[in-house]
Amino acid sequence: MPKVPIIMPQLGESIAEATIVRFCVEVGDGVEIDQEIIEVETNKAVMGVTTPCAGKIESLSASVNEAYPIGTVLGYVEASVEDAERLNAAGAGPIAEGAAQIEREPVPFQPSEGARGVAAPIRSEGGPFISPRVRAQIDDLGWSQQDIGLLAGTGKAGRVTARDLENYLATLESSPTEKASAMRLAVSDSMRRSWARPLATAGIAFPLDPLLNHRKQIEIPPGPALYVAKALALAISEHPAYAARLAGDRLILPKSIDIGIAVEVEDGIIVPVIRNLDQQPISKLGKVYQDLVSAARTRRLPEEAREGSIASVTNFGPLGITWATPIPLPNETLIVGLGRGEKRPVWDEASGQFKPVSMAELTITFDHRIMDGGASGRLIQRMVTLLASPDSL
Amino acid sequence: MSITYLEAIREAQAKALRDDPRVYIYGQDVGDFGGAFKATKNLAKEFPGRVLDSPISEDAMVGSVVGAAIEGMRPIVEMQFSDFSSNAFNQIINQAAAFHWRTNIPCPITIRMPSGGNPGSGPFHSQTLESVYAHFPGLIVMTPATVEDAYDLLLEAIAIDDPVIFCEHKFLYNRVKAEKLPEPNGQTAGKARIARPGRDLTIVSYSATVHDALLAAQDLARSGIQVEVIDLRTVKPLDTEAVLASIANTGRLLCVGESWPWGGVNAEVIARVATKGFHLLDSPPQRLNSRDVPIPYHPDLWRASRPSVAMIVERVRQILQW
Amino acid sequence: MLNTLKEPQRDALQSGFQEQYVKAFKWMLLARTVEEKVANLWRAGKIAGGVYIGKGQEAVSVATGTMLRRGDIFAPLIRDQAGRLAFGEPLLDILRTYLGVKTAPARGRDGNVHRGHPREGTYPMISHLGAMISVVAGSLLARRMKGITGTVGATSIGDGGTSTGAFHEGLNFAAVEKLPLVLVVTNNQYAYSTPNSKQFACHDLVDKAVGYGIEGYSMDGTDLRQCLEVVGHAVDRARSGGGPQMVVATCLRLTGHAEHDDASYMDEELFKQSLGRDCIDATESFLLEQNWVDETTLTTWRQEAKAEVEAATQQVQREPACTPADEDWMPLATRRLADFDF
Repeated sequence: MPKVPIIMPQLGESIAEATIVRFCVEVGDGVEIDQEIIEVETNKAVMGVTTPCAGKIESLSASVNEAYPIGTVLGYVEASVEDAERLNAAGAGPIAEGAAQIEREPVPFQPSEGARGVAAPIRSEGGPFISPRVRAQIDDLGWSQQDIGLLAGTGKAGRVTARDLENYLATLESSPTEKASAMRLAVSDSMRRSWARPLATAGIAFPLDPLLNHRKQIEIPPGPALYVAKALALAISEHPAYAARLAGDRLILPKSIDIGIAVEVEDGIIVPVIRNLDQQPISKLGKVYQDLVSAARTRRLPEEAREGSIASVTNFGPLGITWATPIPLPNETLIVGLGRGEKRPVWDEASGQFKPVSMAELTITFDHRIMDGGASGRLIQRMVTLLASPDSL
Repeated sequence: MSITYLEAIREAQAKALRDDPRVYIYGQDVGDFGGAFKATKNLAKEFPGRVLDSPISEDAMVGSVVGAAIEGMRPIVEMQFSDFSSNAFNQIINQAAAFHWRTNIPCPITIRMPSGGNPGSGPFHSQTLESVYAHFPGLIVMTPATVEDAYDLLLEAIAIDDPVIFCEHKFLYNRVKAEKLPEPNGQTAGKARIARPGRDLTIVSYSATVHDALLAAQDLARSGIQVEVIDLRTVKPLDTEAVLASIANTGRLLCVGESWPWGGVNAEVIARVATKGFHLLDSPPQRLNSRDVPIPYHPDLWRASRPSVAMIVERVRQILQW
Repeated sequence: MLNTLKEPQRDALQSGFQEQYVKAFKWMLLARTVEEKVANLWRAGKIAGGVYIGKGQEAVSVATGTMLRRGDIFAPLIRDQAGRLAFGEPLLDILRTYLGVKTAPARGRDGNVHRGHPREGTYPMISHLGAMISVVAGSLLARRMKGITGTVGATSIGDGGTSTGAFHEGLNFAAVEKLPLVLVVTNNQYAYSTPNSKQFACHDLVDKAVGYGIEGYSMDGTDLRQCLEVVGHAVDRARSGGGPQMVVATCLRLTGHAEHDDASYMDEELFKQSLGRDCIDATESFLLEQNWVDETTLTTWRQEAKAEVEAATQQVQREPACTPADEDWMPLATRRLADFDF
């Protein structure tokens, strides 16, 4: 048989619940419409709950002396099909189910684990602050916040104001411009991020002849840069801390010695990565590298060669540069630069004179937070030792 | 031939009485006496039976015009001073403002509120209550600053089918003049105007302080600072678009108003700009209001308690240095 | 000006009067029946908010509704169900408003006794007591300005409402303008829990009429005949240019302030006095005494009233409820001036 709920009514404006005083009927009793069936008490008065229709008490689910929130179902009246349909429909009364869903116990506040915040000062006056307007303008221009740092600000404490930015842009208007390529923007972003740490460079010259002679015997000869890369990989594998990264107060040690080799492409540099270079024999590297370079130049590097280097090597010798201070990628701790080989007079103790020797400069730029001068010196010396005996590579 | 702000209000009422037999004026001393400020001078004679004197009963005055509006009339109630409208507060916010919402029948009443301070007028003859009434849904609140707007907006207020709180500023009554009256526009409500264009900072103001802002802008122009002054004209509905468009140009905002600071029109403008125009701001938006005290009687204290041209200039300079 | 009627103006045994009397009784019975139903619906959790009924003052209320004509204005207060029905309020309006369905006059925007159709002459009250007096007076002033004569505006107020400033201002204004206002004051001895002794210091509320310079009349609020005669007289006086009329009915509130109030603070003694008698019982006795009806007819009428109320209730319970989706959330008539930029 269909049934209609008996609901705890809202018995006064700020009343949230009422206590059952007594039941005037029992389960199974026949009832008429508007008959008082339950007596309840609020803090204002004792009053009656009446039946919504005629029928029979099907069930009573409340107990005497217990308090129930308004909207609670206290029982059911077995009713006619027609009455049940009418009273269970939407328009049957505005006491929404929501009334019964009011939480009795508030859930206590639990701050989330590991949540750390840096408190902002409540009062702050100008200063190195980029206003929402300036931020919107530089977003529009595709600038980064670092670019703003190049401008002199006329606002308080040197703040760059919207007016300053506009004036600067006006001065640029008279100069010829061309659009920067995506590659240029990517390198620009990468270098900007890399520069956000203290980088230092140390250098050493080393004789080229041992590796130049060694490579003559290899079918696809690896270039000098690959010898340097293999030497670097071996040196790091002996002391992985050379290529650690800093995250907060932890040093992250490399899992595998993955070295990148910088390759110049159309409008920039790509650094394909050779994984586990310390375990790859030098005789094979020529071919490996050749394949990577053609893939890089046609932008078809395989997934595992695209990123993840812990250090890289860049060869600017072919450009005529003898030494330089290269900048590692943001995710790398070090980069080793190889300069142009040239004949230099080197003092030969045995013969008591200067002898011409093919030399090239190795410059290593390192993150000075991870590595100090001494370690850099030891690393680079180890590399020179290895390069003097290419069979060990 | 020039016409004052007060004369414009009188002319607008005369025109409304002439053009529409449903209009009548109700207030204390408005009949033969012509009103405490002479805003209805000679109107009782020209329109017999249409300009009626009431007892000192602001509650009944507003209740009665709601009843008249149900009967299809378009009454204008003159509060002698806006300060006394607090006696009618219940009828304004609970009867008039809620009437259409509750019954779907319009309530086309206009309540004229002589507002604002004069030297020596004291705490109960100086109040500007536009913020209080703008808070309640169902009301339109107008705050004309010029002779032209006083005329045009009052005519529009009478024609609008909703209750309009018309805040006319007493200080402007006889001090602001115009060459002639405009052709009534009928669509001015809810639209701000650029009182003076500029590049460096936006001042948003309304009613009497628009004039102080314009004088400050003139002063600042001598130092090469170009201030844009926006006259809101109506504070509810508020022309958010116009304010945002101005700040899109200038990036800086100062809201100036004569009323008290807490939760007023200035606060409302800044809230909207912070929400919808955050990216347009080059410095924190600011407001300049009267001090948070009952309005002082002594003229020197009064002048020090409200925004002045010098205070506006000083504040603009501070903002520009941020 | 002060005039307390003891003798009826009209011959109570005139047949015209009988018809009017019987008709009025049937409205009282219907009012009592629908209010009992509404109270029961509330106790069944079917009504949100408070329920205020007019048990004990049906006679004075129905007299107001009966004596007004179509075209008059009536601004009822919270215990005017009988008067509303007599003035023409449809039964469905009551149930629709209480049960919160879409078809209610205020569409859920206001509820319970705040209902009316202003253009048809019934003004929906606001909760602030006394506020409707000046509104009705203002409408009467407007009618005079428009050249409409011969209509009356009536509004009810209780003993508590006479203390408000709005009451004073409204009545004073109506008096100064000599408007055809009938103010029906029902003194049911209590304003919520406040007895007369804490509400006013004058000897009798009707004495206030002198203070306002208007005519004032008293009646026994439990006596339907007296109510019809006194209210009828006042309405005639107002209609014919006698200025505002104050009529004061004395009775007892036979229920709590609202249905959530058990009225345990009321003085038991009052229930034993004649002002504490139930006007419906008294009216039934009179009908039987005059031999205008017999018991069977009364029983039939009671059943018919119940059936009518039940049918209306069931109809409304099948109607769709108000929902937020139906709302346009527009407080203004002038849509182009809506301010939505929050």
